[in-house]
Amino acid sequence: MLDSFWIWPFISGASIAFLLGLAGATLFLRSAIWQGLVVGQSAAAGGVLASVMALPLVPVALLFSALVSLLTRRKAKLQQERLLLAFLLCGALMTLLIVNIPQASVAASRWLEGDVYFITRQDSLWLLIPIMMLAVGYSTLQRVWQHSQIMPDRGCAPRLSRWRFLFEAFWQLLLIVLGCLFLGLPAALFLILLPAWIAAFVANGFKPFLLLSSLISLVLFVISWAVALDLDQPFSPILILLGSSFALLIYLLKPFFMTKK
Amino acid sequence: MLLIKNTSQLSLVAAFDEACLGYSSNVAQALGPINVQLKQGQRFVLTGDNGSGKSLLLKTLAGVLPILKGQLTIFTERIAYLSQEHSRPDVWPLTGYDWFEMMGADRPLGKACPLSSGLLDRRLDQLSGGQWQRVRLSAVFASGADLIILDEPTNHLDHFAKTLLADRLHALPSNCCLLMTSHDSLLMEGLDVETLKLEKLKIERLELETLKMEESKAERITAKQHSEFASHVG
Repeated sequence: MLDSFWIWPFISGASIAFLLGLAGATLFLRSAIWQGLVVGQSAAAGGVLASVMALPLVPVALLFSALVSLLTRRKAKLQQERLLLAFLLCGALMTLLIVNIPQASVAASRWLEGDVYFITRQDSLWLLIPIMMLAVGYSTLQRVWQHSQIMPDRGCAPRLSRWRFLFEAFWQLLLIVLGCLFLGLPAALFLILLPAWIAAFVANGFKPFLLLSSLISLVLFVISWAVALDLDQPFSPILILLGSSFALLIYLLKPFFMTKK
Repeated sequence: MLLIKNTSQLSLVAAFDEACLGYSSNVAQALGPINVQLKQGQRFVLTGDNGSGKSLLLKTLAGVLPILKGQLTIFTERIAYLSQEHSRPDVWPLTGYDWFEMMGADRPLGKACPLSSGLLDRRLDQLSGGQWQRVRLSAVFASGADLIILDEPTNHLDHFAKTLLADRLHALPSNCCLLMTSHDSLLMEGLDVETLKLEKLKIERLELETLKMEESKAERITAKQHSEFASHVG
C-alpha cells in the first residue's frame, strides 16, 4: 500500500486530514461550521472556474473562496441567509459550467469526487504552506481561537492586531481549499464537520479537543483509505459511511462520557 | 477618538472627555457628552433606568464599542470586562482552566478563590448558570486588571455566591479601579463605592444613601407593580 506510487497521496491525504480536523475544531468552537461548508463549496466553484479559464487552480480557488468568505463574514447582518445564498450561487455556477463547457465536467469531477489516490508530489508542496504556518504561528492561531471564545467578555491578554486575524483566516481558507482539492468536496467537508463534533462530546479542555478532533480525522482517513482501496470503491463515500457509523457509536456511548448539568 | 497610553505611573485609569457614546447605527440615541475620570483605587456603581445606557458605557470603556464623538483616554491595557450575559454553546468542551488562560488570568492555586473552587476542571457546558457566572467572575478578579468592569455581576448568583463576590470585591487591590452596574443593594452594602447615576443622557453622582431611599420606595409599592418598578430602580 505504501510503495512509491502511494506514498505521496497517502502522506498528503493524512496531513490534510489531520489539519482539516484541527480547522474543523476551531470552526466548531466559533459555531462557524456553516461558513466552513460554504467556503468549501466556493473553493470547488472557483477551482472549476479556474480549470475552464486555464488559470492556476489553487490561487483562483483561494481568491474566490476568500471573496465569498468576506461577503458572508460572521459580523455581517443576516449571516445565515447570506451563507445559504452563497452556497446556492456557487452550486448554480458549477452546474452551469459543467453543463455548458465540456472541460468543466472533468474539473468538477476532481473537486467533487476527490483525487486522493492521484495527488502528485507537485500538489503536495502546497501543503507546506499551512504546515509551516501552523508550526511558526501556532501561538498566533491559538490566541485568535481563544479570543473568539471569551467575547463578549474581555480579559487582560494583550489585544490582537488585525494581521493576526488575517493570518488565521488565510490559514483556514487555504486548508479548506486544499482539502477540497485533495479529498474532494464531500470528504473535506465531512472531515471539517464530524471529527470536531465527536471530539466536542468527549474532550475535556481546549487543547485535548483540538488534538482529539485532529486525531479522529486522521484515523478516519487512514481506515477509509485502506478500506476504499481494498474494496476498490471511491474514497469519499467510504469515509462518510465509516465516519457516520463511528459518530453513531459515540452518540450511543455519550451517556458514559457526559454528565448532566 | 480612543487613546491608549501606557503610563502606569499615572493615577488616572480612564477619562471620558466630552465623549458621546452610542451605536453608529443609531446616532440619535447617543449618550453624552460625558466627562468622567476614573482613577486608581476608585469604586463606582453605575445606576439608571433600563435603557439609560449603563451597559453601553461599560462596553465603550471596555473597548467593545467605539465612541461616536469626543475622546476616551485609557491609561492601561490591563482591563477586564464581564459582560451582562455570556451565552454558552450547547456543546462546549472548554474547562474553567481554559477560561482562565483565555482571560489572561493566573491559574488559581488550591483554595485561592472560593468563587471558582471545585469548578475549574469541569467542562463549561456542564456548569449551572450560577457556577458559570462564578467562574467568569473569578477569572476577572484573577486577571490582575487595573480596571475591572462588571455588568450586573450578581446575575444568576445565589445568596452564598453573592457573599463570596462581596468578599472578593472588598479584597480588591487598592490600586485597582472598579466600575460596575448592579441592581443588588445587598452587594453594595458595606462596599465603599461611589454611585453614578445615568439619567437623561448625563451622569449624576449620588450617595449610596440616595440609592437606598429609592429602593425602600420600591418596597412600599404594591406587589403587582413591584416587578415592573424593580427593573427600573437600581
